[in-house]
Amino acid sequence: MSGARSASSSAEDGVTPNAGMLLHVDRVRVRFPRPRSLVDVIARKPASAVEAVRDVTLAIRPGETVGLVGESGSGKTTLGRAILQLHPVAGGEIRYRGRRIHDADAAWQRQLRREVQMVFQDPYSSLNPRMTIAQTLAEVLRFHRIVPDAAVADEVRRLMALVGLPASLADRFPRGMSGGQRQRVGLARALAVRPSLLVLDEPVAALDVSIQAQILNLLDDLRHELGLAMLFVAHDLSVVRHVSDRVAVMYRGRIVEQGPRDAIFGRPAHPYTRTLLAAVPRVGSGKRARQAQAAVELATPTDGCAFAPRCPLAADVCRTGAVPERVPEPGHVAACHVVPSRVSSDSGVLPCATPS
Amino acid sequence: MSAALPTDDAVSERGAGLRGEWARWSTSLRVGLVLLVLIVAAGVFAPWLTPYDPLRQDYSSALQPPGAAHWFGTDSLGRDIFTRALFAIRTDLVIGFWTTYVPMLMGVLLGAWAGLQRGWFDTALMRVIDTALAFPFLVLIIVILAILGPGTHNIYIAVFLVGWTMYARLARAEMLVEAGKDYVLAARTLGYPARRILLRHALPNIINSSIVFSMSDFVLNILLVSGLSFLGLGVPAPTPEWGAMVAEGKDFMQQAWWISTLPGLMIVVTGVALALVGDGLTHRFGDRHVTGH
Amino acid sequence: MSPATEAPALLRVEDLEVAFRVPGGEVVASRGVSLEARAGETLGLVGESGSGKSVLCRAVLRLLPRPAASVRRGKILFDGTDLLGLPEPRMREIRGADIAMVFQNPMTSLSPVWPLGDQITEGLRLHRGLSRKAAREAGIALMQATGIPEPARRYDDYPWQWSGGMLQRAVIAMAMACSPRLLLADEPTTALDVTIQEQILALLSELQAAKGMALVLVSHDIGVVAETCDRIAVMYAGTVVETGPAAEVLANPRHPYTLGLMGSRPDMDGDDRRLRPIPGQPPDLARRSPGCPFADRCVFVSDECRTAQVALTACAPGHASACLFPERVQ
Repeated sequence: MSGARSASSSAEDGVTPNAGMLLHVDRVRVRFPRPRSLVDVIARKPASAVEAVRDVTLAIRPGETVGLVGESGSGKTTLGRAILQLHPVAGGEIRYRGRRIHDADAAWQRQLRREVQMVFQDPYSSLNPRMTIAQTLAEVLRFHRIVPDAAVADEVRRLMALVGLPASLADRFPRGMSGGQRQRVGLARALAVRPSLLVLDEPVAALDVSIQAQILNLLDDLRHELGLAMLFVAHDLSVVRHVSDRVAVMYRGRIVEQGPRDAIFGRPAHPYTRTLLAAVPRVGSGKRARQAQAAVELATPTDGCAFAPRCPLAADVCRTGAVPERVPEPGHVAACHVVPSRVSSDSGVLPCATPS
Repeated sequence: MSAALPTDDAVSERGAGLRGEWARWSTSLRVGLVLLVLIVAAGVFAPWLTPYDPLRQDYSSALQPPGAAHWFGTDSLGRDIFTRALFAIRTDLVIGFWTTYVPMLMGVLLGAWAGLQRGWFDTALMRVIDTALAFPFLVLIIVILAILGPGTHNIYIAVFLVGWTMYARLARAEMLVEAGKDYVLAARTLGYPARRILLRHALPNIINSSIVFSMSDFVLNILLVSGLSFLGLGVPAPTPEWGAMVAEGKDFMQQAWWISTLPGLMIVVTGVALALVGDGLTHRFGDRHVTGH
Repeated sequence: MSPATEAPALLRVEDLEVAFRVPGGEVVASRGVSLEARAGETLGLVGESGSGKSVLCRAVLRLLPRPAASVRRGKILFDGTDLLGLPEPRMREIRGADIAMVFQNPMTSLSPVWPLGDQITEGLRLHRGLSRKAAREAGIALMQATGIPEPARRYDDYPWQWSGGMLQRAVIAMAMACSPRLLLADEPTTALDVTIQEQILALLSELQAAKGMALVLVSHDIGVVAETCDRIAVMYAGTVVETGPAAEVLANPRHPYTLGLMGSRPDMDGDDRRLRPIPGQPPDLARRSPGCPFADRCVFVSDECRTAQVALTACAPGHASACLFPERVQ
């Protein structure tokens, strides 16, 4: 969300600083510079970059699950990885318990690694093929000195039981295990350090539906048992709806809408969110007659709202200038010219088009 | 077709331990290894396998063709060729070993580190490698030997200076792929230092292609030394060395073909054994690992 | 266009069995598979990995890898002719012209070194003998029909220049080039964003209605199948466990696996509840035990299920289930 927001003192918007936040992503930008050829350097062409995450503000409270939803190119994975410091941040700050995560203090960095962890998407490349499950887990425990050496074997067993893996798998290599089992190992590895915040990057996308359900139930159990906060990054809306307390919708690097789960899914305000929800295939409505449309070519966004080229409600004002934030209800924010604010905030000029 | 083939958990591990390992080896690997073991044994037990002294000269039995007394015949100085060929095993295999595995160690570490860390080190290393590989290997070695002078130790120095580059390029390429895999990212998020990620996590997974490559490199290095001996830059006389023996026999090709040919045959047999092992390892590791993903 | 349920089936698979030789034995990827697809109708094949749905599509087009795969039993009747008995040159004539296929990943379905227009029209030139000029015109028309904007300008583009959704449209254009009577779409939208998926599914439905062709849509996503298909066949461990009209099967599932599949999905409209996953692991196709393949994971199982032969039997008009006790499924 844009900078104007953080000056607001409303306690209901969900992004107020210092409201007991575990993680505060504050106007973060992440960019990937495009490699330049020697010719470009000589010709002094300015280096261009892909702006993967633009001006994103997000907060996660202890024990809360925030769903980060978006399609390809939305920047959701990049944001998740930036939180784990896998990508450098080009602007803004990320704070954990109030302190900047990029603070170079070695002890702070070590502590961060124990507090914030990640679960990856691909079960087939997320485990070292040359290490057994027990070795993978034991290494984490020893490196971070979670338990004394003598207790490592027991702790490995405990972790495996925690994620529902039979102890007999401890000395197996990932090669012999199914996708669901591997994801459980990835989960155990992340939980070994006893984190307070877990970032999950599409943790169930590569799994069959029946296994997916097992893992989602497991996550639910762990959330209650361990009081974990989670940032659940996914493109599958039904999964996000199932797990999240609050949801943020990303489009081309920006958060276009953010709010409590029921508000986003029940009363979506932003046209992109509505398009997204309408596109999700559902059982029960029977065969749907749909108009086939031509593809829309997407140019690199310049000024104005990135969604304008595809938006059914786009007006001229949408293509130029900054996009205001509207607050249709407390705690629910949408970055759109077209959405009316029912809770007062900054005054924006409302164009003629109104959402249906 | 992944939906059709059994998932990993359906294929059970086919027996662990040495028994299971042997069962998984292809014919190439087995034959090659047995051959290699025989060659090494012949070299180790050389003094007991022949009554002759490899260095003793006996003009009265010079240029004898292969026969009952001398299985491989004798050379111009009356030395038994079979004996010298056996003793040469020690020379050639030892040289082959050092000229292969020291550069391999250097090259793999440098290349893998470059692939993992990227940045200036990677750029600098790649430029050095590109430069080195722009020249024919033999030419570089000869130039270095011309500066340092001939001799076994100088050969080692020369090969160490140049030979690591192929391994570095290979290891770097593999590492570029591996570093993108989620388990390496996971190691980073867990806070493991880069050195640990390199040695403990990534290296074991990328080493296979270098091992297979080292098999052919071994043969090529033996040929290199043989070639240098042929040029007079190799192992100093009278130490028996296959290439030197081939060189000594070149003036006698018409009347005493056995002086060059039979040691040459030893090179071929050793080369074939190594190639079989390399081929077998390719299959054992699964082609995926060796030929790129 | 309503499904022509009275018309004879265009595609009829009878008791198909496909086995793969693998190190350590063999894997039966399809067993006793029987189903039908009719002109003007969309048949959905639903199942998870290992269900055999992709193998079935490839078997129809005789694209299974040889010598690893072999069809051990059964018939694949296309308009009355058994495709399995045809000589390869005749089969080549059918592929692309009468029966076409769309694959999952558009990035790898197209050659990166050829212009897209040439790839789309290759079939026309081979099967219909069109000249370059005529093919180009036809290609542009096809691109128009599949919603590719500015086709004339884009005819010579390369795949790397287009997005996944546009590429899949190109793949569909390629498949539709010779107006096939049967289109097999193997997870055509799985690799695409959900908003693009909606467009591609709409495109497929529209093309199917316009050409009156039979469409077989394979997917692991029940929602996709529910919104696009007239009839569905649910597959598990290489067999068909339930078939029937889509609306009927999804409203009143008569096989525990179908019920389990629906229960494992998080619902977009439902209330908060724990998901009801199917217990256990996907089946090991290398090991075949007697009885129902779903027995180990079935919540309604009884002893008989592990020994008796199971086959699709009708439980309602047009609706068949391979469960011995379909009445138990609630």
